[in-house]
Order: sequence, then C-alpha cells, then structure tokens
Amino acid sequence: MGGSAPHRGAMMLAPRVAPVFGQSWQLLTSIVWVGLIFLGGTALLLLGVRQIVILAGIATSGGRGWTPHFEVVLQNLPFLLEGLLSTLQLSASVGVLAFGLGILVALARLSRLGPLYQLATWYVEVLRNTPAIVQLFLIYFGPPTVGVRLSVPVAALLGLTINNSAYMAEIIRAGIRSINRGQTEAASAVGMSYPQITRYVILPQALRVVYPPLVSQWISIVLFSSLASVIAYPELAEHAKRLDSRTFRSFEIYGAVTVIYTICTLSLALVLRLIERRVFPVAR
Amino acid sequence: MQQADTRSRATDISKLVRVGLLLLFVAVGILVAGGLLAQGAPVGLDWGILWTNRFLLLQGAATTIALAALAAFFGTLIGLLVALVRVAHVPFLAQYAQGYTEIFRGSPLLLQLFWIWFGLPLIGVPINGFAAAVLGLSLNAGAFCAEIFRGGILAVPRGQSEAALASGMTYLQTMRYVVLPQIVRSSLPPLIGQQISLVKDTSLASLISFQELMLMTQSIIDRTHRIFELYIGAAAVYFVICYPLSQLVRSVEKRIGSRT
Amino acid sequence: MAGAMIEIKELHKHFGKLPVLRGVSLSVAAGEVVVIIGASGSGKTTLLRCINHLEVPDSGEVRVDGIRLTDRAADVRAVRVECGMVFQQFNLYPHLTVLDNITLGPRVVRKVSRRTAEDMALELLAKVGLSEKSTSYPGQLSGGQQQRAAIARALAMQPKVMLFDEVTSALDPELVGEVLNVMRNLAREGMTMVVVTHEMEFAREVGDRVLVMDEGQIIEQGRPSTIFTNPTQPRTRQFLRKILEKV
Repeated sequence: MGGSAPHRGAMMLAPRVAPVFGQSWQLLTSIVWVGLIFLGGTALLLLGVRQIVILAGIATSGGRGWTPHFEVVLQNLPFLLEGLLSTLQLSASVGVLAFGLGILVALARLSRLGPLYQLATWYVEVLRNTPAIVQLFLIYFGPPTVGVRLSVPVAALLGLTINNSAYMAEIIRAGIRSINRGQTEAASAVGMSYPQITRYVILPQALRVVYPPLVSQWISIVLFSSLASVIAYPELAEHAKRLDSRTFRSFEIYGAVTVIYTICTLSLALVLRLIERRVFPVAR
Repeated sequence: MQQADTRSRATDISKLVRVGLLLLFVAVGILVAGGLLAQGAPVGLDWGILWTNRFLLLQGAATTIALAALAAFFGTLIGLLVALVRVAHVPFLAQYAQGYTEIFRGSPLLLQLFWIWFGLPLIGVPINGFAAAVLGLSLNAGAFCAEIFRGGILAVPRGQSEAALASGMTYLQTMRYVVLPQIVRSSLPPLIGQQISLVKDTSLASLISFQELMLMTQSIIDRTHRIFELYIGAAAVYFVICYPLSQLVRSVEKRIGSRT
Repeated sequence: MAGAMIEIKELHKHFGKLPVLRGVSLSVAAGEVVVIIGASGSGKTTLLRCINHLEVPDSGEVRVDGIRLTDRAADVRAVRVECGMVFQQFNLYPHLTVLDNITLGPRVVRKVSRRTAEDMALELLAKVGLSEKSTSYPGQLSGGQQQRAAIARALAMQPKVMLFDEVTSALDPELVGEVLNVMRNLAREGMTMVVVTHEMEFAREVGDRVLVMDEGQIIEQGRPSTIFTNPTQPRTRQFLRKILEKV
C-alpha cells in the first residue's frame, strides 16, 4: 500500500495504518513470515559463528563433526507433546488457584485492619522479591527435615501457586483501587452489603481494567512452570531434559522446545485476548 | 476520585479473610507440630550456620550482583537497538527483531540458558558458564527491554517526529534529540522492574553450573544439611537486594505521576 | 527550469484502494503565496505533504528550488531543509524550551554553533512577538503562542519555502488572528508560501493564487478575487457556499 518510502528517514513514518487484527489470515501469514526470517537469520548467524570458530581453531572437539539431526525431535514429538500437556495442566491449575488466592490477598492488602494489612504486605513483598526457585526448593526440600514429605506434584503446585498469588494480588489490588469511589456509593445506596458490592460491582470492573496485566501474568505462569522440572515434575522442560540425556542432541532439542513454548504462549495470548472480547465487550 | 483503600469499611470483607487466614495458620501449625512430634526431637534451627559461612555467602551475593549488572547493561543496550530497528521498519532486520522479541519473551529463561550452555558447544562454539549465563540473561532481558522502549517510543506523538524530519533531521537524530529524551521518564519504572526480575533470574544460572548465590548455597547445604536456614538465608540476601529496588520503582512512579 | 520555486507534475497517490491524488500538477513561483482550499478528503493536505516527502506519491515528480525529490535520503533531506513546515497540532518538542525548540534544527542539521543559532532564534522570536517566552516550555504557552513559536522554529532553518498545514484549525477563535498576522508579514517579506487553510479572509487578503481541490484534483485556480466572487466550477460554488455560510 502507498506511503512506505524505502529510505530511512521516512521509514519511521511507514505503515500509518496498523495491521488489521480482525484479519486472522493476514496475522497468520505475518507470524509465519517473521518466524521464517528469524529462524533463517539465526541459522545463518550460528553457521557463521561456527565457521569463524572452526577457522580460528578454537572449535570444541565434538563440534567439528556436527550435523543437524532434527529428526530426533520429530521422532520424539509425542513424548514432548505429552510434556506440553502436563505443562498446560499445571499452568491452568496454578493460574486458577493463584488467581483466587490473589484476590484474597489483594482484599487483605486493602483492609483497614492493621495486622491483616501488615501480614498481607509482608506476604507480597517477600514472595515478589525472592527468586521463585528458592521458594520452590524451600517448599520441596524444607519439610522433610521436620518429617513432612510433600510429593513432587503437590510441592510444585503449592510453590508455583504461592509465588504467583503475590503478583496476582498486586495486579488485582491496583485494579480495585482504580475503580471510582462513586461506584461503591451508588451500590450501597441501593442497599447492597460490602461483600456483595465487592463481588458484583467492584471486582468485575477491576478485572476488566487489569485484564492485560493478568494475561501477562498467566503467560508468565506457563513460562515459570518450567521451574518444576528442577524438582523432577514431568512437564515439557523435564521431558526435554530427559530426551537430551538420552540422545545428547541438546542443540536441536532445546531449540525446538523453545519454539514450542513460544508458539504455545503466543496462541494462549491470542485466545485470552479473544476471550476478553467476549467477556468484556467494549461497551464504552 | 480514586477509590481510596477500602480500609474505611473493613468489616465484612476482612472478617472473611481473617477467618480464612486463621484457619490456614491453624492448619499449618498442626502440620508443623505433627511433624515435630513425629520426629520426636525438638526443632533446632541453627542460624549460626549462616554466620559461619558468611564469606561464601557474600561471595555468592557479589557474583549475583555482578552478573545481574552485566546482563542489565547488555540487555538495555540490546533492547534499545532492537526497539529502534523495529520502529524504523528496516526491512528484514525489523522482522528478525520481532522474532527475537517474541521468542525470548515467549519461552522460559531456563530453556534459553540450557540451549546456550548445552547446545552451543555441540555445534562447535566453546562457551564457559559465565559467558553462557551473561549471554542468556542479556538476550532474555534484551527482549523485555525492547518492548519497554518500543512502547515508550510509540507513545510519543507522531507529529513531533514529523516536525523533526521535516526540518531535515535524520531518523537517528530525531530519535536522539526528540523522541528518546521523552521516553526516559516513562520507561524508568518498568525498566527498573525488569532489572529486579533480572536479579532473581540470576538464580537460574545455578542450573548451568555457574557459581552464583544459589549454587553456593547448595554446596553449603550439601556439606551441612541445614536446608531451611540456608535457603532462607539466601532468600534474605535476594530480598535485601530487590526490596530497595522495588521501593525505588514506587517512588519514581510517584514523582512521575505528580509532574506528568 | 522556468525558475519556479516548486514544480509538481502529475502526482498520483492511493491510500490502499482509495485514490487521494489524481494527477495533480502545480507550479509555484518564488515569492508567490498559494492558498489551497477544499473539502476534507480532497487531498489538499496530502498534496502539501508530498512537497517535503512526508507523503510519498505513487507517481509523478516534485522539484523544489531545482532539486528533484527522489527516494534517496540525501535528496529528501536536501529538499526538507529548504521547506519549513508548520503543522495543525504545532508539534513543538515538549521537553525543550522554546529557544531550544528553535535552535535544535539549525544546530543538528545545518551544524550552526549554539551561539549563532540562539542569536538568530531570539531575532525570530522578536519577529513573531514572543521575545519574553524564550525560556518557557511549550506547555506553558497558549495555542496561539505555540503556533507562533512553531513558525519561528520553521523559519530558523532559513527555508526558501514555507508550508502551512491548516495551522489555525486547532486554535481557539480569538487566537487565530495573531498567527495570521505573522503569516501576513511573512508574505509581505516575499516568502514563498503554500498554505492549506479554511480561513477565507486570509486567502482573499494575502493569497496571490487560490487553488480549489476536490476529490484529488485541482478543479479551479486563479486570483482570490476571481475565485471568491466568480467561480466557474459548480463544485467550487457548492464548496464556497458551505464554507461561507458558516462564516
């Protein structure tokens, strides 16, 4: 379409019209196009680096004879997809539980009761300012020292849920605080009680407002589910590790699984955005 | 008018939450007590172990900070470059940049580190733990910084770039004198937030055998078997680094909000 | 060349499927003030923006002061340096003072020293009546003041041509006059100007030639007196009736 100048200065002004989101076909082709350019470019880049390293004589001993063997990935695709399913199941559970817990903590953070507010604040600050992996290790390796042994799935679920609930709480709290005070006043004027107001008036609006950050957090949950592999929970990252230790095709396997995750999160983001249009139609 | 904290009407909501939390506490208490009774021995948490190993822990902390700082530096640089390329719509480079951003934001850091650490040597590229950690963390941070910068750039009204270009400035001059100075303020909170995440992300470098705080902590645990104390100690170190940064974000946001 | 300052030949442009310019040709002599009027969507702003390559035509030729406008960066910049543009939304840089706004172009593009640039800027500010606002920020100025500062900024590049894109449309009515005054003085000084506007009084008073555009074509052009009192085209008459009814 007209308007795109090939020279640099005007390039910044190039597409004045953003790609139309509604055309899924265009979206798909542009995604494929970007994917191809990236994969092709990276392949060229890596081959180039490899050549330089070989010519400079510092190549690793195993690397000289390397040829790509992506069929390893293809042959074991069912195994990897099993892991993906497990990842999605774990992420879904964590997503729902952390969300629910997050609402409770958010409300606690908004309460007037000193101790409750303090407690919730400490909860949020500690969980958000320490690495998730430390929390996971504490939950999995800690209790056995006092005789309580948590199974891997329970520890993974608990650890990830608690960690994410802190982030969810802050997002939800910001949403609640952004709702106009007048809403609460109007609702209480018709006689609704505060739990009712929270449930029917405040929360729905707060959630609509913070939906995008919530989507980000849900995506983040999928990504961080890979930490469960460290305590041997059989999800996608763990299956990738097992495949790698069996076949030693690390480059192909981890590269491919990275792409699988990317496709997964992109699709998830798309689906969640489409759901947004259904659940929160733009009424304004 | 903002909905002020619903502190002024705590009654029903907080009662519910209070009860819920109380039940939670009781449950945990029962679990722990039950566990203790099962052991038959009084729980003795030896916090002194942290003091004994303070030098090792500090070393780990220093490595963590250094790693985070390096990755933050490179990540910001990469992010800026990628954002400029994307906004300029340079053919092929912009698509490559977009692919890079999507992949490094859309896949777990853990796998990116594994791919670099295990994969690159297999194709012939020699890389040590430190380089792999810096590379992986920088590329990951770079993708997130790119989105932050790109958002900031796109938020500057287009008319200003048009005015600058109309007076004969090049794309880079326009960016340098007109657009980028304006995104500094708005990009600062998310940028600092990104660096906080980076500090926490360095813990994953332990999984590719890089000797930062986590790995250090784990080697001490292997020796002394004091799991609780040491992991909590390590967590405390991370907290001490990250919490002030998160407070910094809050105060920067406040200052920006008041000046707008 | 016939010595025309701006030479436009057969410009065609589409936005997607929509034709916006359908074979527009125009010649502007040095010192001439050309006013372009027409309904919105007639292509007048696009035509103006094609002169300094903010819009790229699909076909046709543009020459400014003999320099041919191509897609090469060097040519584009050479042309842009000779064209000063003033926008409807002012587009002043909010993070710089008025003085810095004006000196930025000359310093960065023409490599003028800061001292020289500032001296020139103060002269220009005096000319547009904003001497006391040199250290203010755009956000502290009224709309009319901002637009006058924008004009000074465009003049700082010492252009041969000034392009005005509906520069008073975003202003409150009582601030329009001060901007038109500045433009009137500029015209009197002999600046070559291409002005897209709805201000008919200005066109009548200051314009040497008025162009009427409709649906991507110039349907009529001539002296203001002729166009406003005796338009030949029916569409011109329609348009004028609509505009002048409101006035």
